[in-house]
Amino acid sequence: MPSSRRYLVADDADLDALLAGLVGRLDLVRHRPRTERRTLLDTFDWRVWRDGGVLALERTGRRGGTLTWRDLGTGSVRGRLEVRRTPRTADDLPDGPVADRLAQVLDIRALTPLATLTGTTTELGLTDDEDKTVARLVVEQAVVEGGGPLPTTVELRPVRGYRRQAARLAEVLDAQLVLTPDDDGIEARALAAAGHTPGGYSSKLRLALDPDATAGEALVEVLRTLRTTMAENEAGTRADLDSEFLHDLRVAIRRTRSVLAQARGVLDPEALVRWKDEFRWLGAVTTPTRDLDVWLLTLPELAEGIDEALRPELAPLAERLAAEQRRSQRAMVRQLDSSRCRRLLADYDAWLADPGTARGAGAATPDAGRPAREVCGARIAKAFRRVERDGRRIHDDTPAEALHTLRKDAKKLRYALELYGSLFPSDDVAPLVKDLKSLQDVLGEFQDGEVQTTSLRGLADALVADGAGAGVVLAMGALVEHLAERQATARAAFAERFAAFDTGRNRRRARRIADGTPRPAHQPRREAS
Amino acid sequence: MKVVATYNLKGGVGKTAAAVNLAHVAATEGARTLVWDLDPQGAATWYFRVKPKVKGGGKAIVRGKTPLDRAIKGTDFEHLDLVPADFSYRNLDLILDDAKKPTRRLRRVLRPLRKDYDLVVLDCPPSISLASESVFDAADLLVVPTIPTTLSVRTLEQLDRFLDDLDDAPDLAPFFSMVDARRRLHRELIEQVRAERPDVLDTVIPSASAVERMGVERSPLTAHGPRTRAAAAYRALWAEVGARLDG
Repeated sequence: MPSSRRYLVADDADLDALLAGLVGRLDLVRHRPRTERRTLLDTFDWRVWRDGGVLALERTGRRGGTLTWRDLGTGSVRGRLEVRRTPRTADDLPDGPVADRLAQVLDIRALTPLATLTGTTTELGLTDDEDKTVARLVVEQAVVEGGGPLPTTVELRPVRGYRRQAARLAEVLDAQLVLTPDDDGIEARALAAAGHTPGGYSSKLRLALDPDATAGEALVEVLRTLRTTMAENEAGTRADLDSEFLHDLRVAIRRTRSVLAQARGVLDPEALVRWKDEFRWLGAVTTPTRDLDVWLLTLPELAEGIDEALRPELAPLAERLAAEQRRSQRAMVRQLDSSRCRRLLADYDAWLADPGTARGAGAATPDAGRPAREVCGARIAKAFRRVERDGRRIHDDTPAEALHTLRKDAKKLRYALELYGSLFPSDDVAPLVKDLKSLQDVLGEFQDGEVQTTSLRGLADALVADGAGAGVVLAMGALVEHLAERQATARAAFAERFAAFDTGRNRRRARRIADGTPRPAHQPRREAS
Repeated sequence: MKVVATYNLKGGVGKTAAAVNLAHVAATEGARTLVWDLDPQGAATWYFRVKPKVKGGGKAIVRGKTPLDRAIKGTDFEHLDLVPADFSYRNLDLILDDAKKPTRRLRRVLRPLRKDYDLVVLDCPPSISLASESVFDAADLLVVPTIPTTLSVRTLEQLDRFLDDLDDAPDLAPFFSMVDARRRLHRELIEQVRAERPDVLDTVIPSASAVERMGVERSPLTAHGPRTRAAAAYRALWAEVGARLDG
């Protein structure tokens, strides 16, 4: 389907004269103007926008409103949903095909209102000799609440199968002196006017280090980026808008700790000791809430693994988990408000602004002035060797702790590859990350099973103490059994995944990263015999 | 993507009205819907004010030489598109007969669109032929409008026997169409058939001048006359058909 074309109307243009002129020349049917108020919604990480759409709550009144999901490219409606109130997550949407499609885009992230536009929309339909609409013009005059008026826009929305008619209309519009092409679109302008950058946040790390940077400069830049991620996710974590804010915050904290642990010889050792201790504390403060979030997210899927008759019996467990999550969330927010946390972040920010590395190497930081590629490459190689060593020690009867240790090793390597990866050729880094990720998946599955089995025992005791019936205990027993099966599957898959990681190719990749040598440009293939 | 075909051996039983209104109701509920007008008379195409002509010819589409999506026209309604009728469909049997695996043809032609649409409604010509076999192969559900006369009910039995011989026959969803509730014969026949056939849908489409006016208004009744009794009946019909498709 062809894309829509957007135009800006010149400030001093007479809009009525423009439209009257168009209606006089073409078979345009002018519909009555509508006064509209619409609020643009998206997730914190812009899932709707990145998917090429825009979501607006329109016609809000006492009886709710219409959630309209449009395609940014064509202007066509992807779906409309009648909602009673502003939906927060996909769970709040009324059942149906539109909600199903939208839920796939939102996944577990919450929607937040970003900008509200009020204004007048006038639609004009171009019709053929059968009175069939073959293209539409939408004229929009709007004001952003708290952001002032936006320029008037005209959008040409084609109808599928009527490409020629849309092209002819476009020619007429292109020839109008008061119209200029609009590359941004009214939604992007409204969001900008409300102080947002569409697509501005992503959970994925976006870090492009300067390949000529010193180790000191590179590590400080990594730490600053991670600190920004923490700050971006703090408000959403406090408000518990969705579980991803806390998750992203925790990942940033863990990555920070990982960088600090590898910064010996590069950054001030006294500072490192303090930040390592303090961020370990901050991470621990957030762990109980995250564990409960994981429970709430995985319980529906885990329940699928037990006998169908027992599934309804899990309701008291789900309620208990939800109540504990709320309690734990409040406790976490109290810790985030504590003077210890405030002091940590204020002092850390002050240190990050001037960590002293710019003044070059001191006695305690002999590596600060060395090239980042050298220092970080060696860190990656060391982490790689550790995964290799610990992984090779694991056999079928190795105790669970060894797998847990390997999981931590793998995480360190993953962080190092992701944080410093931009210093090295991506055709060495990316495949390593891919094989590592597949190994981490089975290790994670195994470890989650350990943690959840242990926590189920505690939960069962607590539920029984509260007078829970036999049903929920039986169902939880079935869950334990199901978790054990999943663990066994994960463990059985381990050897294969590790073998796929522990290859000569990956060793050569790690070595090239450590040596700073690029991959040979051309590797002659062995002749097929 | 689910495929529904409105079908009857007999013509003039409210088949196209059912196809057009069911599709419109489904689209207003958010299902991305495509109507394919396979009837060379092109009544569905007329209702949507689209010209009965397929770019490149209907023959090339059916034989897989031109992708179906090139023939698609957006209607005046959201999420509701149409593949218009083409005069060449009067020879649909001949076109299919020339093709490889003729009875699998329509299913194959539709397959590339399975991610673009939630629902396809095939409005079929009234006959039992190679074309209908291809429709039966592609459809998940055959919605069969039936007028309450002894003769009409007998054609339903003929259809049963025909489907019995097919390997992968679609489910049948007959419903009573053009019903005049004041006529005792209609009421009695409906009761009798319901007792014999549990697959008959509960909804009854009345014989109403509003349905006939669709040809004048040239739009689905559920769009221009949503408050009419017949429009309410089509909405109830879609609720039942949708449930059968999900079940």
